[in-house]
Amino acid sequence: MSNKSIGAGGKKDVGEAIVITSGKGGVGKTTTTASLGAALALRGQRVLVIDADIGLRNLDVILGLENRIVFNIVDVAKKICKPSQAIIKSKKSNNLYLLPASQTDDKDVIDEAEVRFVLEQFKREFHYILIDSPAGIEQGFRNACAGADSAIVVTTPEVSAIRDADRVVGLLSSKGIEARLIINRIDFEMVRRGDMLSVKDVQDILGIEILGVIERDEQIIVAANCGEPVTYNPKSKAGQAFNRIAGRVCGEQIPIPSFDGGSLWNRLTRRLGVNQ
Amino acid sequence: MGSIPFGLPRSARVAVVDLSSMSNPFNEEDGIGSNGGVEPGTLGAPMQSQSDAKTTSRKIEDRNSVITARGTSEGLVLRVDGRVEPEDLTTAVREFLTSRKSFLSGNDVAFEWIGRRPDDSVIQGLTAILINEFSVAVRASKVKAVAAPRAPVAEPQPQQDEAPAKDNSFAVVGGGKAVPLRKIANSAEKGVSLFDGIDPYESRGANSNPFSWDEPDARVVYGTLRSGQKIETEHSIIIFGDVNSGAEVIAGGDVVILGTLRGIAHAGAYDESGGGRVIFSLNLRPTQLRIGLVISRGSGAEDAESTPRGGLPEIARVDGNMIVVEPYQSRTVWVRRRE
Repeated sequence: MSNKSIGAGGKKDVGEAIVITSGKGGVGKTTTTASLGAALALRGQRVLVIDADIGLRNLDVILGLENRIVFNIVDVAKKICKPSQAIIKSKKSNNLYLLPASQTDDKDVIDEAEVRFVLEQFKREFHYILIDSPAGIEQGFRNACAGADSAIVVTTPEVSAIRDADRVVGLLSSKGIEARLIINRIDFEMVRRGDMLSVKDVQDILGIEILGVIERDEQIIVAANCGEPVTYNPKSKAGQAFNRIAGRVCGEQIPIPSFDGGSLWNRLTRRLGVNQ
Repeated sequence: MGSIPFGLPRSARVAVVDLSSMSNPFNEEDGIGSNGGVEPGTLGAPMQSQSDAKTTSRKIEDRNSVITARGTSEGLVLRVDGRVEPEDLTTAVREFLTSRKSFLSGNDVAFEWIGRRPDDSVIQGLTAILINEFSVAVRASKVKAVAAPRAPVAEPQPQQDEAPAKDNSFAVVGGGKAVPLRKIANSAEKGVSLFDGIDPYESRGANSNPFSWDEPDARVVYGTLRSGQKIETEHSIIIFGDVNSGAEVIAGGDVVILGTLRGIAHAGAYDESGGGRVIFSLNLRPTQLRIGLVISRGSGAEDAESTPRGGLPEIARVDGNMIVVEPYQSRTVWVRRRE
């Protein structure tokens, strides 16, 4: 099931375009795009990640490919270069490619029609196209959603992020794009203390299917600075979560682990009735 | 038959209509009083009437607003829109009375003119019609200015950034002219109720019959309002879903949310005093509640809890210049309403 072939003889002849968006900035869209892309590539899928954050590009940094950029999405859209000239193969995987954004333009330089054109160039070459959306709900967001088949909404368990995510889910729904949710940076110790919203609280408000839950993990910061997605780090909880999410994207039924009581000590003492 | 509701002379015969059929005033068979009549669902469509099909058919749609009946402690009052052309007025009054002939025959009514009092000659003409054709006497006639709701707007669509037509996250049903769902059960006068078109904004006597407070127009929304979405209606509104933080519901009538309210709800929005309107929610955790001109803010702290405080649905109403929230109890709340 995870080996969809494209082109001649395949069941699907075009890849699936998924936009990764959030409304709020800084909740983990770019990290998710890079890490999920890497995880899908590890499973043998051909993946293209597109940075749609024109003017404030970051996806290239997270993947460690910033030195290799020659052409970008604007060049492809304006037909300045051939599509194959613009995509960059990732360092660690032959299945993962990046189409970077332009840093010297801003978000109004291309429109939805041009974005669809760009997607057309690549849809037959890749199983999955992940589009990293900028924050906000303006032209940048609209561009990122153009041509998307489905969406992943990323949020943190904070009221401001959730409200923005709710807005975005509403906008996506009016575009006919179905959204699934990733809850990022959850800290189950804080949830237990009542200082943070739980997965259930978030789901009550947003009411969409949860694709994955990612715990707060220092390793993400380390990975970003090193230019290597956290997926490749077997010790990282976040990396493990992204691998599970990749499985779910491919259609596998992987249950979301129920995270309760962080440390071994907590679990032991609760059993003895010492901890409340 | 049941007890005679307040205000009517004992001699009046009243068809006691059971609650399930109360939802649709001006239902079929108005204007003829016999087996013919309107098919369910065609209210507002031209009706084949035996008399004068062309001129009456145009007015059917507006009939709701031209003439309505109200019971008071002094007797029956006919509230008539005085701004209508005399010819149409006569027709509307005739139709209205024809279907209610047996209730009203032998009784008296008072006229209450809305907006404008017609010329004396017109009033005399109508009085004559009432006496000669229907044996109904007119005991009084006065002008009434009403704090009317704003002129009906074309059904407002929920506001979003995208064209509303593409939104399939919820469907909107009802509003405007009510669509009857089923035929009324057999009763003496085929279900035409004396209480059709009851005006809800007027005050009532102490022995008010709660069954008579039904409003024909309410907007029903099937789905959750997400942040940034807004619905506005001059009537009451019922939402089968949540109202999320950042969403707004604005109603001229009541607001009934069969879900969690986290956003802003405004009831009685077109009435300074709020009109006795209420806001109901299964889980009331609002950002703000507004009734009329009174605004109060939610406590904010327990924002995302999924169970209602105390486990009960709650209802909010105005008390003085504050909004008071209490657990909803189906029996007691309406007694205090609209005093």
